[in-house]
Amino acid sequence: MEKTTRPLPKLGWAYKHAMARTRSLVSLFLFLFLLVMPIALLIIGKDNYLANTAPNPFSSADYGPHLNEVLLPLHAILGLLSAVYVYFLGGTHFNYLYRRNVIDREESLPFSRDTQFWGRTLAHFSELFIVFFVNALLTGVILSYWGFGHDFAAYLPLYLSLFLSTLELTGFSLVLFSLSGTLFDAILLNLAIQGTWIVSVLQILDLTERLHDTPSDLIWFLAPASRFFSAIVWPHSVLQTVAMIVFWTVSAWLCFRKRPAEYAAVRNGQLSWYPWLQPLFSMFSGLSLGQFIFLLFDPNVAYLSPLRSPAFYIGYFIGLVLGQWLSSAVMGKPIRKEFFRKELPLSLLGIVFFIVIAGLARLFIPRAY
Amino acid sequence: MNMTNNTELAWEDVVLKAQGLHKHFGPVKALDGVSCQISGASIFGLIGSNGAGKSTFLRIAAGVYRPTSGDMLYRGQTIYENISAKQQIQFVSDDPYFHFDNLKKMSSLHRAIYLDWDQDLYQELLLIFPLGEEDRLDRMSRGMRRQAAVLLAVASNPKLLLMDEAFDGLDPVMRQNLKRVLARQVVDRQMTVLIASQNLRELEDFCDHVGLLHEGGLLFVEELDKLRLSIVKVQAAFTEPVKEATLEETGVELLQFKTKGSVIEVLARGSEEEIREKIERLNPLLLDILPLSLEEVFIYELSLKSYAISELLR
Repeated sequence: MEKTTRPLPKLGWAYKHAMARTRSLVSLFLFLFLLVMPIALLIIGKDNYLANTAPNPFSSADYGPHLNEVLLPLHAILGLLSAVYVYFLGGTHFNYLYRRNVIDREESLPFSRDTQFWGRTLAHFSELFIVFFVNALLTGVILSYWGFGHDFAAYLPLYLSLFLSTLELTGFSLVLFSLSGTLFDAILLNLAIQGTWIVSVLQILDLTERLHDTPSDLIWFLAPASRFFSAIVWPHSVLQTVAMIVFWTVSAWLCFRKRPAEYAAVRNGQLSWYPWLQPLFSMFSGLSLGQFIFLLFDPNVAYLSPLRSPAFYIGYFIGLVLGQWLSSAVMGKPIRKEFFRKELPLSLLGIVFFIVIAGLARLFIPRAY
Repeated sequence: MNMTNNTELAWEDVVLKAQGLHKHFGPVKALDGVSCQISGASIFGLIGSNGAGKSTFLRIAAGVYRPTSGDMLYRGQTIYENISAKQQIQFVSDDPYFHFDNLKKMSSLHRAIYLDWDQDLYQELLLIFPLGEEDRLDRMSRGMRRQAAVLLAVASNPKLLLMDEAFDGLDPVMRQNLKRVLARQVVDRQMTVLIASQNLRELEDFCDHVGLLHEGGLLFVEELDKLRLSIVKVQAAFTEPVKEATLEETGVELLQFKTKGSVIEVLARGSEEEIREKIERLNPLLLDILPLSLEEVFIYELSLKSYAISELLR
C-alpha cells in the first residue's frame, strides 16, 4: 500500500483546478477579444485608421480625450463581449451549484466552502485579467508600431475602467450565482435586476426632478454592466468601482458560505429570499405602467407632473400587481388561489421601494431644474 | 462491531452518530428526529421506500447537507464543513458524477485530493471491475459508471464509505464482486460501510446491521443475526391437518401460520431447539427448519409496529 504524507490540498489546488477547467473557454474568448480589437485594427490597416481619425478626431468634442472614431465602436463591441465573457466564465465555474449529482460530489470533497469559492473566484478574476492584458498588450504594440502610441495611452484609462467594471459585474453575478437554484434563473435574474433597476431609478429621478445631465451614481448601483458603456460618456471614479468590487465579492462570499446545497435545481421562485426581491420588479412595472397610462389618458400631460395625476396612480397599482404576478410566473413561483391574499400585500412593498429611493434622491441629490 | 439506536456504545467505537437529526425542506420533513450510532468495521444497511429519507441521511453523513437541527458526528466531530472528517469519508451517490472523462484522470484527481489513496488497491480493483482506464466514463452504462465510482471510492481508502442504491444497474456477477470487495475492506482495513437501498433482498446476505427508515423516522435498528436468531421458520407435515389453535396450545409463539392440507409453514418467535421440541409433541411426519429471509424478519418486526411495508418487499 502506497501511503503518502503530504499536506491537505487547499486554495492553490482549487485555483489551479478551476483554471484548468476553463482553459478552452478562456482561449475562445481570448481569440474573440483579439478579433474585436488588435485583429480588427490590423484588418482596418494603418491608412484607414489614420484617414478615420486624423482629420477630425472627435475625441475631444463629445467623448472626452480617450476615444476616437475607430476605437469607439471597437470599445463598444468589447464591452458587450466582456459582459458575455463574465457570464460564461461565472456560469462555467459555478454551474456545479445547480446540478444535484455534481453538488453531491463537490460538497463531499475535503474542501471548505471558502476554498471552493475563492479558488473559483480568483480563477475567474485571473482569467479576466489574462484576456484583458493580452488584448491591451497587442493593441498597444500595433498602435505604437503605427506611431499612434498616444491614442493608445489616451484610451488606456477607459480600457482599465472597462476591466474594473467586468470585475464589478463578476462580483455582482457571484452574489446571484450563490443565491440561485438554477443557472438559467441566475442569469435571467441578473439581467432583470440590472434592467429594472436602471429604468426604475431613471424614472424616479425624473419624477422627483433629480435627473441631471450627469446622472447620479445611484443608477449604476444595481446595474454594474451599464458602467461598461456609461463610462464612455461619464467617467466613473476608480475608487468607487474598486469599493463596489470588494462589496459585491464579499457579499457573494457570505451568500456562498450560507448557501444550502439543497438549493440545487430548485427554481428561484421557490426559494425563501425571492419574495424580498420581487418588490423591485413590482416597482418597475408600476412606474412604467403608471407613466404609460399617464401619457395615454391624462389631458394635462404637458403641464402636470405624473405624481399629481390620478391616471399615474391607477397605472402604478395595476403595474404593481402585474409585476408581482409576472415575476412569480417567470421564476417558477407557484401561483395558487391565495395569490391575492399572499402576493398582493407583498406587491405593495413596491411602493415602499419607490418611496425609499425617491426619499434618498430628494435628500442627497440637488434639484435638476 | 455494533449498531444501535438505543444502546450507547463506547465513544471510541462509534464511527457515525446521529443525534436528534432533523432535516426539513420547507414544509417537508425528510428526517424527523433520527438518532442512531454505527460502530467501526461493519456493513450497515439502511432500508426505506422512496422518500423515506435515506439519501438525505447519507448526504448529511457526507457533509453535503447541513442538518436543520441535531447533529451528525463522525468520530465525535461534526461533518459539515469539516475537511479532516471528509478526508476519511467517501460518498457514492445514486447518480455518480465524474469531474473528468476517464478513470485515469479521475484516479489522478483522487490521488491529489485524498491523502490515503492506495494505488496498489486501485490496480487490484481494476482487475476485479473490468473497466478500461482510458474509456470514456460518459459513454459507459449506468452499472459501469457505478463500478467506476465505487472503485475510486474504495481505492481512496476511506474509513467510512457511504453508498446510495449501491447495486443499482449492476449485473448479478458484479453485485457479488462488489459485495466481496466491500467485505474484504471491512475485514482488512476496518472500513465501515453504510448502504442505503429500497430493496431488502439486496442486503440480506451482506449486512451486519439493518435499520429501517420510514417517513423520516428510524423505525428500528438491529443486528441481523440477532434478528434472525430470535425468529424461526418451520415447515412440518402431519397425518391430518393441524389448526393454528392446536399449535398455540403447545406453547409456540406464532407470528405467522400458513397451512396447505396437512402441511404447515409457520413463523414463530423463540430459539430453534425450543420450537422444534414443542412442535414435535404433535408427532409430525416431517419437520424442517427453513432459512429465514430478511423480508420475513421485517414482516414480523414491522407488524409489531403496525407499519405497512408492502413497498419494501417488491
